[in-house]
Amino acid sequence: MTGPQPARRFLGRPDQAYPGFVPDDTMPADARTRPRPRSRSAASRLWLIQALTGVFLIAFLGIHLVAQHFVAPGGLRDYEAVVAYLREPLALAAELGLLFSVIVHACVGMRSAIVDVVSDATRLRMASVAITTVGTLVAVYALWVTVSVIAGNTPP
Amino acid sequence: MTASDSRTLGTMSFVRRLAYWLEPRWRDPGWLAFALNRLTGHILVLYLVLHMVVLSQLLDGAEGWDRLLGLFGSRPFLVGDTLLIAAIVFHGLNGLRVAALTFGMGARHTTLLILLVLGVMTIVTAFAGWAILG
Repeated sequence: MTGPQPARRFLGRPDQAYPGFVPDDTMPADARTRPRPRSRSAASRLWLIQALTGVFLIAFLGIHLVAQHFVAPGGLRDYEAVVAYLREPLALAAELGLLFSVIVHACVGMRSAIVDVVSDATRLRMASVAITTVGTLVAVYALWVTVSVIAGNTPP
Repeated sequence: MTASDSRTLGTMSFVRRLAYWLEPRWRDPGWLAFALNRLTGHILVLYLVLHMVVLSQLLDGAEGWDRLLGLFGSRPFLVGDTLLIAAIVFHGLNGLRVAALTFGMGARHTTLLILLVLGVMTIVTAFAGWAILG
């Protein structure tokens, strides 16, 4: 094949690329991007999760901001209005979607930040376990608060 | 950063790696966007923790919640809300830009797209500030 080849998916900087590398269609395919991996690595799965939860966040956060702040008089709902809102099945689904998306997105993001400064595999694994544990505890706690409020297990 | 620097980063101590990460000189716009994305990400994680603590006041019933509404409506809190919107908009739009890069879109227009992200962030924050504080 002669001339510039059509652009393909960018799979990351080639290992030997200089800092500030920008892929160019006139380069050979193996010089402008990494080769396609045979199977997904843990890092690429985490990247996909980060991207998907990011997209979910945009949708759920939009719903949350409109419902809880833009529509509510004065920008904030009082207690009865919050409880009534959470008792609507669709509203509850949106709020729980926001909750789990934001926790997963934050956990994967925190791990990415740690990867930048921790190179030791054992420490990185320990950090991942700690982040997953904290994320799970936060999710369980938030779910418990939500269920308690909906069920009316709170002082009048 | 030179090619040899990138090869030796793996052998640096934690403190030197952190110091290197915070070095602002000789950086390109893509790095600045990356650093801002990280910074806003950390701010949003801190806000998430605070938000969880605050929302747990719902367990105290109407009295506990309505007491908090007064705090939420105070001037410092509203200024914080406006800054929070700036962080959310930047983090969200820059995240979309980075995701687009993976699909081969926007790599040649990095600086332009970052300026676009910053421009939209400024406009949205100004509007939000006007709506919240005005």
